[in-house]
Amino acid sequence: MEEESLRRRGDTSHRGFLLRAEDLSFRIDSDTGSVRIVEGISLTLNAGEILGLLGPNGCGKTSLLRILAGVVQPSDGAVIRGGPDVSLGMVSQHVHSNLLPWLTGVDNVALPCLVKGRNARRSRSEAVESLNALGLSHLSDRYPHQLSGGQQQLLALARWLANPPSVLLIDEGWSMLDFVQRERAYGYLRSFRAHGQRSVCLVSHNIGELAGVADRALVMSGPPAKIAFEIDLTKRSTLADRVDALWECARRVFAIPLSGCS
Amino acid sequence: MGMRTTRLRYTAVGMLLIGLILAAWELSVRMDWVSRLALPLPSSVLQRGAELALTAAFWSNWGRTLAVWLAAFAAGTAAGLSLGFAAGVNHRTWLVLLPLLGYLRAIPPIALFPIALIAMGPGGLSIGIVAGLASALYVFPGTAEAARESASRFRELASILSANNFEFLRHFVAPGAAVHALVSSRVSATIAFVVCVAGEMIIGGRTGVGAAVLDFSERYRLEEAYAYILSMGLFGLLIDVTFARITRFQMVESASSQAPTEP
Repeated sequence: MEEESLRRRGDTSHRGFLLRAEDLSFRIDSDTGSVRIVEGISLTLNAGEILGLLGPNGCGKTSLLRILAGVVQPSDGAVIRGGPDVSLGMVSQHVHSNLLPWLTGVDNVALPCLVKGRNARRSRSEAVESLNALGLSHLSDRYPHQLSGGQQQLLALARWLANPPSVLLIDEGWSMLDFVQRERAYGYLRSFRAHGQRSVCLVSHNIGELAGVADRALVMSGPPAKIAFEIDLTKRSTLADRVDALWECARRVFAIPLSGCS
Repeated sequence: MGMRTTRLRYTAVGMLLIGLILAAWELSVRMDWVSRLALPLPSSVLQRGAELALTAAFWSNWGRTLAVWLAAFAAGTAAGLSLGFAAGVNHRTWLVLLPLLGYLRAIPPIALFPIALIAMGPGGLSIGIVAGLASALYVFPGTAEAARESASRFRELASILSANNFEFLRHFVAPGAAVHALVSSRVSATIAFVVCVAGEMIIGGRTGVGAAVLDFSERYRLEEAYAYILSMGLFGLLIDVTFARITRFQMVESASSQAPTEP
């Protein structure tokens, strides 16, 4: 498994980047002055990798993700896609913004196709197949308000697994999942990035989660959001090493005293 | 007990309440607690109403009122919904329209009848325009608020899915605001009817249910006047029931998005 993982990571150097942020800054101007949200962030998302973002609450991770997604325009800098066919998907941390409450699970999964004007019947049929393949067929006919928060997060993720974009941005996408479902979600992500020119940018507050699933992690400080540390987790052979590396950087950014690390 | 049975039970209690009010009315008049000169017996009113229903004049009056109401309601609601959705999607439109609509909404529609009378003369056109305006001014803010809420909630998702303005409106804003728009339309239908009847009483000439009530009252034929008034109540009930059914259907479709509950 480790070999397979390394081989996959080795592939990334040949594929080039899918998304690149160059010197991104984002300010909000108000009557009381200018508030800096993101400052001077440059990063690259390579094909076949999962990039983890870790940082304190309110440091600007979500803003950075929204800029990468193109939902918000940066004040300075640019987001460059690796090609004209590079597409984006995003799972928001706000559960109620991910799913349309008047659509059933299957229609929510089929939404990208429906918006593109593809045949509704075929889109639904494909969405049903995808949900079956993901083991989520029991969510097909249910409306979001009939689902738990965790099930809604799974459905939001399923939408992008059924309609895979080149880059999937996940903003604390499974904060409500139990540990069994989380493991299931990690498996989805691994198989997602294993197929073709795809990568994932994952915001999480869970060090163990990032250590388990990410190839590279950026530990951010802020506000304004800055990259404090970049860790290549592929160079750490064991999960414990990765957790240690992340924890060490996080401790500095979060200003946790050494006694708190024990 | 199923939801349908519960609903039917409450509806039956509601109908019983109307029956009780009529019974209390009948009793109070028969016992001379209320003068028959002011309040005729409801049984007499119902009897006169049944007789009126067999006359052509009754249906002609209702036909004219309904024609003006329907035109005013349809045009006013269409305008209110269009402006509401436009303002919901486009913040600038909202900012531009808000002062004007706030200003117009403060003016009671009935106050516009004299102006309509001078501008367009007596009759259905004047009444229809004022009723249409009242209808639009009621539908607009509710629809706009719901559309704005839906737009701000799903703008990010629509942007990620590269939805253009039309797709954004079609897939995200309109379905999200549909329940509120329907509820606004339901009240707006009643408001348009109220304004139509008031208009017929003030500038309507000699036809329409409002004019008929006024005419019978002036001739002191209270039973006929009350029969028309009770038939208006029935029509109001019909509007309510129709919209309630449409809204209920829509709410099932939208899965009552406002109140998420876990299983």
